[in-house]
Amino acid sequence: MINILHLYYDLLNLYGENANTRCICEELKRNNIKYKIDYKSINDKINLLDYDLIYIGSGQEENIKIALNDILKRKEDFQKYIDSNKYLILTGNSMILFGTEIKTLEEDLESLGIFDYNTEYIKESTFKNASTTRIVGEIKAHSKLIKETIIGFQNRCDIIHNINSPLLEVEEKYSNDGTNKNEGFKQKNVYATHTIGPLLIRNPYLTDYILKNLCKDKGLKFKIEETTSKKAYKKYLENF
Amino acid sequence: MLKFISILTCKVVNKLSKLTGHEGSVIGGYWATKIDKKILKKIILPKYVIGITGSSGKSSSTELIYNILTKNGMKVVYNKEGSNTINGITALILNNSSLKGSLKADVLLMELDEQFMKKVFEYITPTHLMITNITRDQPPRNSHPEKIYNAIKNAIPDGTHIILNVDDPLVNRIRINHKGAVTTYGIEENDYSVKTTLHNLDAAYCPICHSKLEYTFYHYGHIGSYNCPKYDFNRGNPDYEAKEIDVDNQKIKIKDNIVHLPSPFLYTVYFTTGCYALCKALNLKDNDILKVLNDETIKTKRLTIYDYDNRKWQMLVSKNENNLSYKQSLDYIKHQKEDKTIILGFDSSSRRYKENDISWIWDIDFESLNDESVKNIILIGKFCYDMQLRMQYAGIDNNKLIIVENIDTLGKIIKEKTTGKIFSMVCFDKEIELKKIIKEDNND
Repeated sequence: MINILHLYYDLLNLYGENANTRCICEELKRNNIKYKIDYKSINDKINLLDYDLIYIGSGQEENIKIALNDILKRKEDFQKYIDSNKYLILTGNSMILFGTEIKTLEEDLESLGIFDYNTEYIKESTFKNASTTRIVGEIKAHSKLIKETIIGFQNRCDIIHNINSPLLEVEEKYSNDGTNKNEGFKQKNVYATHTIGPLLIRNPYLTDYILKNLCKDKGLKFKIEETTSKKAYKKYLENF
Repeated sequence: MLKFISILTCKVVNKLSKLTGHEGSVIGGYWATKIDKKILKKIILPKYVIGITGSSGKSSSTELIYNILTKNGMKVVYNKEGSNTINGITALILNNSSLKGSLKADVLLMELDEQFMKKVFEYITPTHLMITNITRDQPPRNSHPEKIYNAIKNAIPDGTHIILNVDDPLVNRIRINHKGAVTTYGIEENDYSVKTTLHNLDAAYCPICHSKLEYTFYHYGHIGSYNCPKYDFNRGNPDYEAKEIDVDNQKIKIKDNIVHLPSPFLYTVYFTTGCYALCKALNLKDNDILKVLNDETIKTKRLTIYDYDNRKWQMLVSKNENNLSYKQSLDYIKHQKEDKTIILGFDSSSRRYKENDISWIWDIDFESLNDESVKNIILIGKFCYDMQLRMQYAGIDNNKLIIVENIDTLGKIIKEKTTGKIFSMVCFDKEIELKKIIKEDNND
């Protein structure tokens, strides 16, 4: 039995991100593995340690602030959850909640401080071809975890400093802070990337990697198969 | 003197541009502002300066308002060519002004891009502004709905009479602290309304106290009837509300008057009701609005339907990157009672930019295509496997799905493997290919 939590599902969910938890469930179903998924949000009573995998998506700036107010109350629980090697998948800007601070254009906000990185909303253009206030565009990147290229899309207004253990190395635009190719964050079983949208649907090999390991930890067997998502993934790389 | 030269330049450049085969709707404005940056501030504008903006429904609303006002004897200048940037608006105004600098019309009507609106309002103050909706739309350009909301909110000057679709909480929110008149419109629960809470992605919380909004029903997406449990923020009763809505038979009632819809879509109910509200804000009489709305020539605007292989084939445009517009077209197809084959697909997400993000297909409720009347779904275009995957997740029977990678085989496949009326909803480039197939096969 695998317990999944989609946290802040109604606040942090930009562009098709709800498909990430659908993908996890669908893949487990294909493997005849029992699972349960809960959708929770601010003010809900949650025991994080009941879960094996937590997913948080990307949000608009106002919603990130609402989520931040709530998640600060769960700091100890999250620390324990991460320390016990449980799985946390973060897409888009949700990873900024776990750093030390978020400097928005109006104020400095204290965040969870579970990881050492810190965030700043952009005032001036950090990347070529990006508008001053947003970084929006496609990315191609590589990961040490799998040999296949990661594809995706970013739509963000932040840069993150001080990340030395990235999830990805970008081939095409946009890294964490523009000073190197580091993108996202990886520590223990925390997988974080600025990529938004249906990351796990579009990158079936990454999904295989994460779910295979999760199942192994739980003493379950995860079968890797040629699915339609792999066909779609290959076709994309062929076409673009 | 500068004003005179600036206006003259705009008019001359526009004429020259048109003579050389260009559209001429932007370039004149560019040169005119080069000569006099503040030229727009110097023009004497008519009594009514109307703006219409929002994520979707702008063009249909602007066109309908134009029809109503002109048929009531007003002279209306509007950006028919759709150039809604600052240079486009400048050219529109100057080309229709006298050389002394007075706009020769009763009404200036502008369809405005949400992001560029602020630039326009720096120079001219609208008397009226209608806001249709704020939804997920073209992310590479618009980022997300909050950014569109901020762009609109920050652009509206004090004193402007705003006409708002209150079914959309993001639009309704604009009235908070607005200094000026407010008229609201909305539509009643109808055949298309749903009770689910699954698809409210963008306005789940009260913007004031952050309590979860309580919805009694949704029309689509986050648009519907809602209340903040603490009464900080409510839909309330709209000033103008479409009632007894019959989309399929193209009929609604507003203030006890029967109003005919120009087309059988849910979004038509919205723009028709919005235009009614705007016209009332302009002090038009009910009868003067109704005589145009219920006029045969508008009422019978037909959708394009082709004959193909002794079947009917109806083409709809795929509203890529706007999940809610896309969904409304799907709903229309589903509401057609006969058996059907649906063709979906696209080669690129947008015609405007090179980014090919396909996240938006996961925000569309394709689950609704699980219907007895949907016999086949044909998927074409470069993203056919992404679409196949989406359909599989939607729970659509694999036997109904047909993938067509080679468009040359499409005609044969339609004839041999599918049944029912054909509906296609593809992007522009693919639509040209489909029309070619119809034309060639019908000539054989």
